[in-house]
Amino acid sequence: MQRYTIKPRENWQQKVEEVGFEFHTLEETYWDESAYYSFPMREIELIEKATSELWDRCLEAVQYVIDQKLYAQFHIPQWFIPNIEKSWNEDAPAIYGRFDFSFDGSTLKLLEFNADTPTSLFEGSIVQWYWLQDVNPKADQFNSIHEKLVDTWKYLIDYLHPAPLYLSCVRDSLEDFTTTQYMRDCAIQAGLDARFIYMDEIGWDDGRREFVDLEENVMLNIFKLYPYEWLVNEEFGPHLKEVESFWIEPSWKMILSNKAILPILWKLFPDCPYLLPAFFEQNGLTSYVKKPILSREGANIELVRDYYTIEHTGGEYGEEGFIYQQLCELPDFGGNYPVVGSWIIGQEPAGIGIRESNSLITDNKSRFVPHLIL
Amino acid sequence: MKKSKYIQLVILTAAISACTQKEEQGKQVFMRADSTANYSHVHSVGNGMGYFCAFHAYGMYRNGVYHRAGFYSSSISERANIGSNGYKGTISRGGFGSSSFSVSS
Repeated sequence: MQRYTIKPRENWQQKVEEVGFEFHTLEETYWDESAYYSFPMREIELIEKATSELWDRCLEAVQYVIDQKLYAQFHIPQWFIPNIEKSWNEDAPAIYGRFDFSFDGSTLKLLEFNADTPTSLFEGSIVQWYWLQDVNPKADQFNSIHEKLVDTWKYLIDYLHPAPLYLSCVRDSLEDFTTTQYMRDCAIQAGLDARFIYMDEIGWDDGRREFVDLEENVMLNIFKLYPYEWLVNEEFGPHLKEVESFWIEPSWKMILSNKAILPILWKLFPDCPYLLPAFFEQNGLTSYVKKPILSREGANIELVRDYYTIEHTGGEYGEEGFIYQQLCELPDFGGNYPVVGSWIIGQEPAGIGIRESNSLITDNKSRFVPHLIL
Repeated sequence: MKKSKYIQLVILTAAISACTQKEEQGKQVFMRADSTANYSHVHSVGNGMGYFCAFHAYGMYRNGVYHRAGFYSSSISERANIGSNGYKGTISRGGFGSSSFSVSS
């Protein structure tokens, strides 16, 4: 794994905007093609193997959590547990997830699993693929995200209700809107009647006891780029237990998207080479990362090395509790610290996207940097 | 080979383009969906050619019979949609999305 600096394409902003990528520059540069990462095939195969194996371990861990009724450790409300168990037992349709790895070319460790609302999907699938066509079309890239999304939607058609698929996200976030519209694009290509609706436009029909769209059609299949921990705590949350609609991702993903899964994985699979020791207590760790079980964008993270805090971030998370994971410092490429996001789509590893930061904590100022295989 | 061989997007660029159009300057338009409601300011949609707000039929079922109550548009505010029209109360909206910022995870 090597990092190279290169000259960005002429008019790169225009080029990425032509494929629909308008949020390339946020407060600072988000899409950064002044550098790229290069991998030999054997390293890509290691990432692929780890992704596949960790996915299997995660499914076993979900079964364990459900069997042992460990919901309290995940801060999951009691009333929502039947919904989670139903979605698991009935194998409700699921699409995707993204493992975040620390990887230096040889040692690969799981930092966390974004199993419910992973983002950077469009950048990983489309933008970096077009970048490769311009920069080095003969090179390879670990990226079959697009085909796998379309194929997975095709596969799911028989398992969804025979009705339109609604795809939803919040207003006023171009990033979320783009990701959701991209997912809709893939669903349309798979042959689904895929419609967009904002989260706040979803209606609750008190007479029919169903969620309805703006034309009062019952919504039976709903993809939401909106986390369960928000859904269940909002006004319409309790209605989730009443309806037979499929919500994608399914609610059992609430277990995997919670960082409480990390101590469970370590307890079950301490010999797995891709896992870091993780606990619900500090448990003798002298160098560790303290993470809220529910948090986003690297908020409320504390990095401790030999008992001393070396980095920490603020935020509003932590009320639900923390986990402690053995410190695994990201590799340092000249002051750039990459996290490898590895996609699982359907049941298969599908590609990677790299976000790098100027510090050991990957936060909302991280940059997306493309990659290739040589 | 690991990479995609061919990628096609069917709706995305058009959807994003429509979403990021700049609002036409200098005009203010106010609308309401119900005569019992207050007017609210609306934003232009499109390439400066005018205003487009989709108004959907709005109603409810009572004893298995559908009663039309009026119209509703997502382009205008809640208070401009409902006003004091009690029939519009059967279907409520806005119960999701209040944690409204990017999920970014």
